[in-house]
Amino acid sequence: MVKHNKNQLTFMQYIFLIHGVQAGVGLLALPRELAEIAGTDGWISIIIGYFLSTAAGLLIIQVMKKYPNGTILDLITHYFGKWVGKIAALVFGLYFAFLASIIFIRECLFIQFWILPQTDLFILMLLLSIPTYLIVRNNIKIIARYSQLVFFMTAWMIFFYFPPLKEAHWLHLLPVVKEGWIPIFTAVKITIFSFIGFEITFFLYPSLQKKHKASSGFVIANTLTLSILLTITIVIFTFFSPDEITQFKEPTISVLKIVEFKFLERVEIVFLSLYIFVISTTVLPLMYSTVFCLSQLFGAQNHSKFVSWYLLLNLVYIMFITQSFDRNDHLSKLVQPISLFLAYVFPICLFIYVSIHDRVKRRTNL
Amino acid sequence: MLFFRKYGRKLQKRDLSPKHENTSSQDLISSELVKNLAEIQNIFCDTPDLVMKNFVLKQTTRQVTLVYLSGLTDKNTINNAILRSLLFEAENTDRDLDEKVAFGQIKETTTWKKIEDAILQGNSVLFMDGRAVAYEFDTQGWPQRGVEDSQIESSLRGAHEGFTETGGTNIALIRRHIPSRELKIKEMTIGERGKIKISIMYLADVANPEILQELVDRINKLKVDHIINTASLAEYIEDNPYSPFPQLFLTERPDFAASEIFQGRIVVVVDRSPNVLIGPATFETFFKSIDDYSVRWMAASFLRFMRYFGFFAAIFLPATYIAVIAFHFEIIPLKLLLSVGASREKVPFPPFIEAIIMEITLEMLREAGVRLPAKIGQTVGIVGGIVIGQAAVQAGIVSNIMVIVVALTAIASFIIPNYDMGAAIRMLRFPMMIAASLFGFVGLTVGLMTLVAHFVSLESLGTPYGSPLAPLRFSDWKDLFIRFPVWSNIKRPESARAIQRKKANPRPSEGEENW
Amino acid sequence: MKRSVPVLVSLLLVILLSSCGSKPPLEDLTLALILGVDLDDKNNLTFYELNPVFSKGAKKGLEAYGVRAKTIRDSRRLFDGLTTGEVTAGKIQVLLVGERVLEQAGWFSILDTVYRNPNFSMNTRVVAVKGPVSDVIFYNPGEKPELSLHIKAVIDKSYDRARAVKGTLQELHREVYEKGMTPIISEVKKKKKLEYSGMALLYNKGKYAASLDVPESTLLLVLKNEKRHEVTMTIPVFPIDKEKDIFHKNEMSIQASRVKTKIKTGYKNNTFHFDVKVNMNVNIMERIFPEDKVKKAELVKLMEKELQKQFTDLIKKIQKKKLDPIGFGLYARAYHYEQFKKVDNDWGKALAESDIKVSVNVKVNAYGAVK
Repeated sequence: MVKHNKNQLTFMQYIFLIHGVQAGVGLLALPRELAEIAGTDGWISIIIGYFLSTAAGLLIIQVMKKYPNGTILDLITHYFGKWVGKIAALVFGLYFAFLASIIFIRECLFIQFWILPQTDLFILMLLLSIPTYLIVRNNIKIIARYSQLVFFMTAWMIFFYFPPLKEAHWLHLLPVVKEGWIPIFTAVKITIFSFIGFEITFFLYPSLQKKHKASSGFVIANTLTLSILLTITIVIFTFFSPDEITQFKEPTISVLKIVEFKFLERVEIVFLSLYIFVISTTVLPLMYSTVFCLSQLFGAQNHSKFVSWYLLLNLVYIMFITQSFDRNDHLSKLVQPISLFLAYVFPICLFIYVSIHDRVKRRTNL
Repeated sequence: MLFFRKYGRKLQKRDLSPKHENTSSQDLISSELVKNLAEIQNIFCDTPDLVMKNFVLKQTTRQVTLVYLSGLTDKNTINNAILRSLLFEAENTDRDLDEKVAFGQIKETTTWKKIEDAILQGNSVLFMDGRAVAYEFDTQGWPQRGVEDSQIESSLRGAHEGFTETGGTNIALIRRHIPSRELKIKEMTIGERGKIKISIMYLADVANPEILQELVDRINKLKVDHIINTASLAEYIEDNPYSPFPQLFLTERPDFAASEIFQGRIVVVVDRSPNVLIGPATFETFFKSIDDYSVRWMAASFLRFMRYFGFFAAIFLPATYIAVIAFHFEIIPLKLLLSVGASREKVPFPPFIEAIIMEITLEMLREAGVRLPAKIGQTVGIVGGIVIGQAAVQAGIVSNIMVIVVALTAIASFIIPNYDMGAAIRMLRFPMMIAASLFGFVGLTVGLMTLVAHFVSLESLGTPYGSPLAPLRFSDWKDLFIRFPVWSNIKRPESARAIQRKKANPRPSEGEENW
Repeated sequence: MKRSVPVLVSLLLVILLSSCGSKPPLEDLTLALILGVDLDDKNNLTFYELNPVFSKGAKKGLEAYGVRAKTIRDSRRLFDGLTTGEVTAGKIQVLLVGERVLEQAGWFSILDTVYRNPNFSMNTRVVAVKGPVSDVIFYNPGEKPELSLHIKAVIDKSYDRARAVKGTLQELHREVYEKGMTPIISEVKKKKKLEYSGMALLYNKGKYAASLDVPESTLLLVLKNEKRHEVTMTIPVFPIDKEKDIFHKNEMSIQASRVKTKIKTGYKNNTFHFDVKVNMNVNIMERIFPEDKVKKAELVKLMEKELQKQFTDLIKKIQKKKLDPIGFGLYARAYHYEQFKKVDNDWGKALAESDIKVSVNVKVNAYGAVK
């Protein structure tokens, strides 16, 4: 079994890793999806989703505290035995593999549609695989450094969203709770997936330097994600009319089409090119988790071989099966229940089991 | 890559050390002068610059021979201090040689190996009939350059002295900056044929012993014929030989080297080379110049910003030009676009070829200027200026805008104070240009991403190269983009991994009125 | 395995290099700067395009073409046949829509590709042309900067001085889809010279409804509460006494340094009530009549009265046409959501029936440098 070096991640790195995984490709279509269900009240759903995900994340940390020096796989092995641990590694590995692959392909589709319509999808993926491989083959510490650096490199991009505010119509947000609470709660089923990705805490926790700050770090990361989601959603809700917003597939990009500077026009091209960085902070940790699970499963010491195999598999997949946004949407719909289970339901079950288990054990010891 | 590494390992297995070495290394000298001289003749055959001076000690009639290499010794010392006293003043053989010869240090040696080394290092050796001991005099003296201002790292206000080709002088130059007993020097000799003395200098109570050990281990592991200069030593011991970035800092400036020792870093002085090696280096070290600390902090910070801007401009400007012209012309405002279009109209090449032609011309001009004597160098500059600036545009080979881009790139790449980093940057822009010509901005982003990926995983002597950017260490940012006033910077950088983080507190104690 | 790595890498590089479907560089493109849509006499769709010519040998810097085609995308095929380079849409500055097109309901769907294809810029100004588009697109202003820059500059300048809307594609899309509002675009006409003539008000689906002249446009923008660099109005303060008054001795010009329009809504007896309060801080820039003609205190009252009358007239005009370019619907939706939802499919009619009151409050900051 791979022994991860202890005390690797600093507090900040932990925050930006989690935040990086959360904020990614989903942000581009989120305002439209929300508006389709909850209209301009969708922002309330984001806040509700935030509280749910925070609760789930904190629960994950509580579970991990029971077995602080191992990942979730070690914890499961500890409580349920070796074979259950192997199965968990397989489940998590496949889950992360699918998630990473869906996002990776979606990223390529976006680039192809918005920036490089003439370029083959396969070539784009090949291109993106180069830096991906270079990073994922390293340990989690390097990925954390990358996420951290990229966050600071790209954080200024949020300023692109301020010029549209000049033409914002704040009246669009009124009245709050137009159609009652039901659409808002229905939309929560979308927003909880915007926060998905925090389940990598399962794997980050043992590498954390200051474990007592894990919870506050998680809340900070989640709040950061919330503030970004909320800012962009509100900009878009106030900019677009509530009646037209559902017309745009990716309003997050469309809104930038009107931003113009004296020296730069068509900001969306620049934005989307740089957004590749933001998406990479989602994809890379997910891929790392994939290969980590796989190397655990096969008991391999070095995971870099799995990275190349995984990327190769993706390339083969994209080469032989035509990709489209519809197919990608369909696939991500398929993964959603698994996400829901692994990120929200599973921690609750595990927490209950572990607590009861420990209590029973303590009683028997007494 | 792996292929080459394997090949290298195979080569190393073969014994490539000098042939005769094993035969005579441990042999002792004999007490008969004639035998010894025969052995010397044997070792140094075909060595016309070897001098063997036979004479008789003044008072006794003992036969002695002084052996040295004429070019490597100081004739004055030999004549005045050794020959003179031995020929005319020595009285009694029973007394020790120490008292007869007016000389600082006399070593007694008995093995041939050491004698051979001593003669080759420029010492002179005295054999005495009837004794199985030879005397070594430190008479080194070879043609030497004086201490001059550094050419490659000239500075406005910094000290105008640069390292020379003599290790001892270089050590002295550094020691003058650090008169502390904590300044320790570890000496080692490497090189199978060209033996070379390497001195590792550090502050014992500040520098991290782990890094020191790592450095010593890496140097000790070297089994090489010779090391021609510091840069090749750096290439042997750096962490990632396949990185475009220099991972150890080379400098000609004693003041810079000393300031880095104060930070807790380690300096390697290589004899015969006018550069010293500083490690562990971080990316930002290469953007510092000693002048940053000799002008006021705001001006220095401004220069720092210019350098980082120059870094990005030099790598990405031509690539951005290509990407914009070939892919994303939409992003340029219309008025500019029309003038760019008008200037590109005559150019028959795609922007990538256009850019490559100009960039390569520029690089060749630069290299030609460096290698040529100053007077001809100027001519090259003029020719280059005319060719690039006017003729090429008028002939319709390149566009005006391209000339501006190339000129900006050149200036931007020359603003980097470190030569190695400047060279790395100049080279990196070519892959970026290729990426941009194939994929536009996406290519640029992927290029940058690859660079960042490499950047975050690179280490120098086991220390993160990207510090304080990746891993992020805000406490080190006081000397990064903005050089905060020196008095506010009271901690040594974390990237040096010094065991003593705090410097002496520079602030005057509270309540003391100075006016 | 290990040795195959460099082979693989070089293979990948070869694939990458050979696959580059690179676009032709800038100078080989034909940049369409103006796109025009019009109907000819027999109601055939006609498209116009204006592009710069980079070649130095060319006499004119611009060339314009008109073709008959089915759609905008289809017209590209025909333009390609006429021009040297590949026609690209990325830099279209102005989209001219002919009067005859605007009079057809449902013309907006012609613009579908503009929104669907990410190449198009959303900042393209949509401008209505009174008369045929061909008059404008083949118009060569000579000494003026080239046409597309000229039209755009005229619109933008008028925008800054509160006389025009930008009417970008994005705004048009928003206003067409927005139920609580009807679209406005700027309007130009070509008599001898090309000139900006005001705004065209459209029905919700884009059909032409009415035109506003330039002073009316300013009033409309004030009601819309849009912040601009400068709001200037020239208004008569009292009726003219003499029969012949060549020098308009009743006029004065004010420049509003601060305009704030508040709209309060109410719903009573099945009608919407809107209470529009316009607060203006003005500087007097021009006063033709002598000082003693009107007292200071009275002057403000007279101005308020005149402005109120103008605003009311404008709103009447709008209500009569069952339009809502001001966006009362947005207020209605925000504050009376339930009631608005019932009528949102025919908001123009509901607004026409509703009760709108305007009150103007003027404060004079400065009377100028002379008495």
